[in-house]
Amino acid sequence: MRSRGPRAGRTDDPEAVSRQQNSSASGMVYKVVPGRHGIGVREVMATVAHPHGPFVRRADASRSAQRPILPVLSALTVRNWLGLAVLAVGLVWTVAWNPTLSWYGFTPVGLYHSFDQPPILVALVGLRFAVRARGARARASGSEPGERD
Amino acid sequence: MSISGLEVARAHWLFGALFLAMVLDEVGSTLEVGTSRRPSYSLPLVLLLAGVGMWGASVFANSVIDAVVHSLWGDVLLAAGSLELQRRRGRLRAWWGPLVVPIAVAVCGGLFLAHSDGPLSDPAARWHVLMGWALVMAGAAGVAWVRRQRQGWLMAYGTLLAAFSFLLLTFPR
Repeated sequence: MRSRGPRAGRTDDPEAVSRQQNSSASGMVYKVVPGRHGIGVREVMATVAHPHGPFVRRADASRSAQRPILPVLSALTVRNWLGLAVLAVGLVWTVAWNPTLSWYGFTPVGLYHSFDQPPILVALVGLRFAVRARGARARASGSEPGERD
Repeated sequence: MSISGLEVARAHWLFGALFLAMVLDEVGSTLEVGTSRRPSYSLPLVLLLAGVGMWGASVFANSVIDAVVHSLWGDVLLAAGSLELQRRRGRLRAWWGPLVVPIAVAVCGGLFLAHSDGPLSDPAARWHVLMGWALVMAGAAGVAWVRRQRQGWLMAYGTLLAAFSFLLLTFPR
């Protein structure tokens, strides 16, 4: 846990803020610690998804030392949105560049040339990432039933 | 035998897509906190694949500088991919292990800059200069991230690597 800096006195009660964060729908529990940049640093305790709803367990020291970049959303949600954003960029790019895209036929080389065009490649990368994020979410929600105790 | 400009551009686009997938995987797995996961092997596999591709490019290079730079590139990528793979499998625990990839990224950036021998009015040469500087800065940010463990450096590292992949994807024909 970070040590309190000189701005600690200006910050709201960390416990109260932490309780507020606990009730957030993201399923993450934070310790809010005053940071040197004045906006507070959220330290994630842990989050575990479950089919019956999110529940929380305390993370070990090595994990709590890591902080997510976008702590408001759960990590898998961030991955999902990142994949969907890249997919959207690819689709918009495909539509915008439609006149310059070419179709080379159904032969193996033709398919390779057809798919090897930047907008289509970006859309495929985004699709793969979004699908993988959904798979990871499904695994996380079904793999740790014993953690609920 | 030489390859056409369109084939060169296609190779850059394909590698850009692989690189973008790898950057997303890396950033995504860094975001995962508190969930059990196995280490991702996508980064070392992309590095090894790129190393093989670079050796292929050195065989079909149109000039001596292209052949030399691409072969050096292939060596750096294969070495970095092998070391990173062993590190992720838990077999390399040296203190310098996490520094291998950022340093390899910076070296590859330097090779990009050495590789752009044409005038900057040439779009391909301009793209190589931009990609080279993106990789050099990404390598520096990666070293800072490994040494300092600040999220800001990680953001800079990921953003510069993503910028590099988009430069690859927009490589001119």
